[in-house]
Amino acid sequence: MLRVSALEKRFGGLAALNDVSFSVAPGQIKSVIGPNGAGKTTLFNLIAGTLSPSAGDIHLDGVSIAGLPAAAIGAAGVARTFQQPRVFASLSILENAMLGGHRFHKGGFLACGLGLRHTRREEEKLRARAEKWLDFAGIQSIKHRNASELPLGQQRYVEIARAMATGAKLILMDEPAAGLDETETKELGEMVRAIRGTGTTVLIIDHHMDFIMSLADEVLVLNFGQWLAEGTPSQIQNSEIVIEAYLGSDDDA
Amino acid sequence: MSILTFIKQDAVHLNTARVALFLTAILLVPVVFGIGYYLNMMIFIAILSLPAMGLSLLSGLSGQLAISHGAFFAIGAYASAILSTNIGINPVLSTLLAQMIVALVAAAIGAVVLRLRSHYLAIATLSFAIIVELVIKEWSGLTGGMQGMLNIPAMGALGREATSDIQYYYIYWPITALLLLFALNLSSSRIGRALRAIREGEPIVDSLGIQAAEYKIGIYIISSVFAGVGGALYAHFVGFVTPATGSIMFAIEIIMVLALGGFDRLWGALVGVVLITLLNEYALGFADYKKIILGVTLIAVMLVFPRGLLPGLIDLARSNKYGRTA
Amino acid sequence: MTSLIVSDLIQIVMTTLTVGSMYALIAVGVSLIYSATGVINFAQGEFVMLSGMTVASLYGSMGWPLTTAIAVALVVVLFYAALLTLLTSILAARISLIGVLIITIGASIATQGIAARIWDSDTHRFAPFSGEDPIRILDATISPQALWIVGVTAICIAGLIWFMRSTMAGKAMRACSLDQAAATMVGIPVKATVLLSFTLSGLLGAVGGILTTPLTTIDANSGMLLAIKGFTAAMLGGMGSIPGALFGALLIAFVETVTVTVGSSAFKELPTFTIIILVLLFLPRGLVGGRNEIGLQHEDLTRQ
Repeated sequence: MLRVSALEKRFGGLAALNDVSFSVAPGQIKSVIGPNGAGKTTLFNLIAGTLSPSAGDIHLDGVSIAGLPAAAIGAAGVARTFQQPRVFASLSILENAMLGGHRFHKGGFLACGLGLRHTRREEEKLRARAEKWLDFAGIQSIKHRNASELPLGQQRYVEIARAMATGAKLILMDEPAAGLDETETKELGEMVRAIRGTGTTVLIIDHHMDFIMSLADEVLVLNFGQWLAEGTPSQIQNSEIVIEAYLGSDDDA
Repeated sequence: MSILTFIKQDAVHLNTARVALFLTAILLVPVVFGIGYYLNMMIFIAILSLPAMGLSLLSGLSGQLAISHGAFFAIGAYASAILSTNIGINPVLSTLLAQMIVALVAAAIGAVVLRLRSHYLAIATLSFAIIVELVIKEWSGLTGGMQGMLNIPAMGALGREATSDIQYYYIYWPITALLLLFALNLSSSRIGRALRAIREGEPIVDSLGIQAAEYKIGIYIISSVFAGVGGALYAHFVGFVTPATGSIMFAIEIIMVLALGGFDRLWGALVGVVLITLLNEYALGFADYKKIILGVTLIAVMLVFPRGLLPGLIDLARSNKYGRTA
Repeated sequence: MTSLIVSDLIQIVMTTLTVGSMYALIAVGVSLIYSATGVINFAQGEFVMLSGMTVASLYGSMGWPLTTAIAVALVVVLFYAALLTLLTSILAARISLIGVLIITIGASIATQGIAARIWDSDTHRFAPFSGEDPIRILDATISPQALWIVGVTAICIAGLIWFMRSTMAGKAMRACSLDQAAATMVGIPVKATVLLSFTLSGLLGAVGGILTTPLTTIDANSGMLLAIKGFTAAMLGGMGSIPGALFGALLIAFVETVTVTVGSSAFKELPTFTIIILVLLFLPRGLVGGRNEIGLQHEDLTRQ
């Protein structure tokens, strides 16, 4: 469903990502790993349209999305969660999730200002949709609290509910387990599986090897902006190239 | 389900109920107090509330400050004045047509300056305001130059014109109340929610498939049209316009209104307008004293209550009520 | 014919340099304060107005010696600079930058009102330093005061650049402009440095007021438009850069002079303000390139 071909991103003379190609099958959990500076977050920014590629192409369900503005890519069905959870701190959790479904409704400035009936019906739908995904993410009971009041771990679930409410086909998760303890990481793994259970494809960056290896269907390894290896978790764990690359930077593996 | 819970569930119903109550009270004022000079002041309050509510929409939802609302007030006033005086279009229609002009100018300017933020946006909109003031002063063939325009037709249509303060009172306050309702609805709708989100992080909003830039331009246009309507109503009420109508001082006065009423409260904008109108009416004989009081108050309010005087006082009252821990 | 064109050119160059010097003194002042604090000082023009009005009344009307009048004007401006430091930096430490901009707007209009009460709302001037007789170069006429303006401005700005590069205090100001937190950690007294930036900036404005009042006249409300010109020039050159501010000021003065020469004086200001919108858009770092980063949390009006 996602096909990345010969993708390249240069900042000045430096190649942050160089000739990277891979694809993700629908309904798969695919993980991207690699030492710091391997270009993982750059890859995500390119897919999500925050950055535009220097060369290469990205196809989502056969349609090229490379270089499109972020909003267009979001509307095409790519959602993301960020390395540092980025919730809208001044809005309630419910409102955060409602913004996920926002793009499905058309009520414009005039209709909303006039309070036309259809905008109010839309609002109800938006709310119902948001509540469904809050339920899914297990934070329905605290929906009226301000998002900023939550601990980091729970903000992650707000991001997930918000991303799922966009109706995304593909979710990019950038180090979702960062800062979580063992139990929380396990719960998050269950959540990611549940996301796949809805038919949504997941592309996930993480450093926790145990977490990734038990979760991912396939693993892509990047090193210094280059494609290094790709395969099932067990193939990757036994790959000499990968082990070598990781021995060089033992500390962050 | 009781009526009360029904109202509570829907922001539009709640807003409508509140504004209806407010308008009823306003409309009853002349019935209770009779006709008097205060009506004139109340009409100015209705007019000045419009640019203030417009700016409040912008600053409350997007967190940004524009110094262009005086300019859009002037564009609304001059456009409607020119259309009705020179071309003979009736004032109701010219007021509406003037808003199309305001919206077009706001769209053009918004597309250009809204990529800027914070004090850069403030300075860019200030530059625009200065350009508008210059054009009004210098394009005398159209605008009457420094002398301005006289004999602007009174508000009305189909041969029925408003002639007295009480008539203006009953025409203008419902308009202001309806626009207040519009602003409240917008603020509590999905559009308001999206704008509040945009001010926290445009990239995140984009990632949800929402075109943040369009929303920013949209709210700028709406907010400017509020000022434009105010301008047109002003022109037809007082019957003349001068370059002072769109001066920088007027733009600063609108900011002052928000400093008093709060930068993110539509009802607060109304309170701010009332305060500043009273200040203008009673406290200030000379322009110099007005500048001193305006300037010093602006400084004092920003230093003590950076979110605005009214919200600051409300916070203060709350923390006294619930003690220091609240 | 040829001499006519040459004299036109000389006239344009001299006017550009004279007007540009005035703008430069304000623009450099705006830039200094922005560097040290991130604040855009809307009240910058009031330095010019206060000094011009003080000298006009003491020297022009009351017949004090010029040097005494200038000394008093400088003291007035120094007090004013200290007051602005207090209002914008010390009392307003936790307020958003745009909130501080509003404070400086308040300061500007309050000052206008107070000046109009102390003096009046009429225009004032005093006699030029070296008499009124114009100097003729070819067919161009140049006021001797213009030479004073250009000369003293050049000396002031050269002196300022030397100060910033070569003295400890100047280096401290530059350190503050790069990173206030880091500057605090290495023991630079940040508050004193901010006060210094306001003081220097006020002195530049005062010099401008004293030099140009004989030529351009001054009134209680002159400050605001001058301030706007000043930060237009500063933004044009790139906020925080002294050479940039100088360049921006000369460019604006040139555009204005040419507009007046070939077109009408009525629309003198129009190109200037169109330029600023264009520059903000396409060259947010200015033509020369200065410092231009603002913390996200500082940008929002209704948060602190």
